[in-house]
Amino acid sequence: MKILVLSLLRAGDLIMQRPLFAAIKEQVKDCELHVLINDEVSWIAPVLKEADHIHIFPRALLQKMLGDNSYNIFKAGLELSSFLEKLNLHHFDQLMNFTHNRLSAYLAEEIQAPFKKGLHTNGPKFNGIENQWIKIFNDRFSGTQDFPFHYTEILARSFNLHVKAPSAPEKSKINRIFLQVLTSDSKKNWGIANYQNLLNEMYSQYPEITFKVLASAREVEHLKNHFEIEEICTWNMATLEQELKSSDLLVTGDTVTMHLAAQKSAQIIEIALGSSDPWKTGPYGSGHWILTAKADCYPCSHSSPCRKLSHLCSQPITPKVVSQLIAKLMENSNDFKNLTQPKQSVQILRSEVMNYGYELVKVNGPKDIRVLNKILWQKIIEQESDIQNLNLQDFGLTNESIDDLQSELKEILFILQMDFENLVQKLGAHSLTSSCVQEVRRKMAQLSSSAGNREWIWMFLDLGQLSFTTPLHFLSAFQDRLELLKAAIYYRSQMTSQNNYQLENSL
Amino acid sequence: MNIEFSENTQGFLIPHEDNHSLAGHDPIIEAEQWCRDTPTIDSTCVVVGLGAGFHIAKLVKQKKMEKVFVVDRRPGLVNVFRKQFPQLRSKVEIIIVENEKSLLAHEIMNEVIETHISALAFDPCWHKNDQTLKAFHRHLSGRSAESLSLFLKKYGINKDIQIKDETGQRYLNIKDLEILIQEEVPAYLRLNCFRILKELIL
Repeated sequence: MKILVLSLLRAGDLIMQRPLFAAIKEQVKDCELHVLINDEVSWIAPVLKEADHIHIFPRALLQKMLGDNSYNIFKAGLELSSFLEKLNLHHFDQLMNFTHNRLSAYLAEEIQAPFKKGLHTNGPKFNGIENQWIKIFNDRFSGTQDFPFHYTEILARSFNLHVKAPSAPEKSKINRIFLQVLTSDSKKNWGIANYQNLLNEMYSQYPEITFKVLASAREVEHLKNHFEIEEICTWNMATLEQELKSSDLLVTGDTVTMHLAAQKSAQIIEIALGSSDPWKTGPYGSGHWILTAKADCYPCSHSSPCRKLSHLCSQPITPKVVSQLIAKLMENSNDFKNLTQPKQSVQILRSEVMNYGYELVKVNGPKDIRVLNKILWQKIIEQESDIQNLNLQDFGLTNESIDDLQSELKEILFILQMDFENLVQKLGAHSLTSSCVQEVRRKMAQLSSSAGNREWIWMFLDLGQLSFTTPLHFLSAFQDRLELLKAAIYYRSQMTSQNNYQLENSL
Repeated sequence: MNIEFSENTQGFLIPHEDNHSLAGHDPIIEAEQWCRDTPTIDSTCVVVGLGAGFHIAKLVKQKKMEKVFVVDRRPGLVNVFRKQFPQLRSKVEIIIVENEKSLLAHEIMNEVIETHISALAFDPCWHKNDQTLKAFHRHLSGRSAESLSLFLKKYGINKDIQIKDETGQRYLNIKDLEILIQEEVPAYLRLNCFRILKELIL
């Protein structure tokens, strides 16, 4: 069976998709896997070994043809047609769109395949987003609010693929330490001076260890002003994949190197800054370390630059904190108490892949509430009933705080149900207009602003901010949210043994 | 169009139009730079602007061109170019047209309509012909209403094209083209390619 995966994303996303490629090969008998990637990231192709064929979408060339008046106005169209014609000669049996933007949806329509999964158009209509997981992925992954699923696992759930997490790094002696100094986005960079200081400190502490600064060929010119040329290592992706071992430690920001290292079970310390949210895009696998700092603006939006006068999310993470964490790893120690005390604003997290999925465990702290939300989503969407009740104390929660939240949710449900019934009545009387919808949206926006960033309230009220083509579209989304809210209240009370609340219209 | 020539310090003949040099201080470096910035093109192309011709020589050599059509409106430039670059006779065809009307009726328009070859602009040498040569460039790249009419005829669409363009000098783009196609072609036949391309416009 010939399957084409559309993956018109960045290099890091492609690496995070590798477990999905492997799952397709494993789950589909006699699968010939084709992957379509952008020309700008064609350098990543040698490590996408799960794919039998890589096709390159000429995105940059088409953009140039469209933007440069030297090219004939028809040239880009002809180039695209010719590309699609060649691609369609493969006669794919199935297409999976892992990209989920309009461009990929339109392309998915033009690529012939009898069976299509994920976002694709059919004329003006967008299909392939009926799956609840895909809906959540589309609605919530790109925002800055808390989200409890890793990119790899939410995508795998969206396509019903069973991914295997890479094995945890062996507790072996660290022989080499790599520093990935630069990322693709300046707001994710820890800063060259910090890495220099860290390196200097480690040289004196660990004379037997090999230290290398990883860089792409084009970064060398810049980095050689700060590091000795012998310290800089410019391996290509294939070499890097071959070289990385469990006995290596990588100190890095959110980079393609980090995702590759996680798959090679190398040990990782991620310094997660700017828009890097390690819950969503941290090193996928168990036993890696993530440092974040508490800052009001962290994590920020992916698309906009840092607008603060100083890099607030990076300042508390000093070279000292990182070198102390390295020292603990070198000693194979589990005692992190002293490490966090001097810098309370720094969080040290450890990645784990449990039976319910990826999570980040706070060192010396309660379990993250996102685990609770993650299990709740799984219960609501998969309607799994066999997940055991959780101990609220593990999350630093009390029965009272859970009760408060449940009451708040019930109150919101009551208000929303009234509004919904009102709108349905207007629909029946043919008097449902945009202004009726506007009124409800305003109310939801008000409720939402008082809810702050608490996910389980916010997620039912985001309709106040989303745009809809017609009042009917709004009504349909409204109904979805109501069902979700009912299910959430029902499952929360079950999970947390707070069975005193019985929902009248329970599922 | 008064064209005169003078010898520069390197011994090359440099054309001047009304005492304005049509080449940079160092025409070879100027040509190299222009070639470097020139997009990837096929082995045949059109260049608007002959000037001193160093850019043409560089283009043929560097991009291994098989055929270059050079369009200009100044006949006085041709002889010196031929004398200075005799080796380019077989690969470079110079087309001198006085105005837009003559260009639109010229055989070269058929060539670009059939082959969609790129039209490169060497504007440092346009000088006082700037308006006309820019219009030539828009026609040759299919980015003017007039040339678009000719292109669409090839696809069986006969129409005088009306484009919103107050200056009359705008380069048309894929969005203009999509609007035209949508007006003319039944919905079920519309080229979905256009919406894909629109997503790629930066």
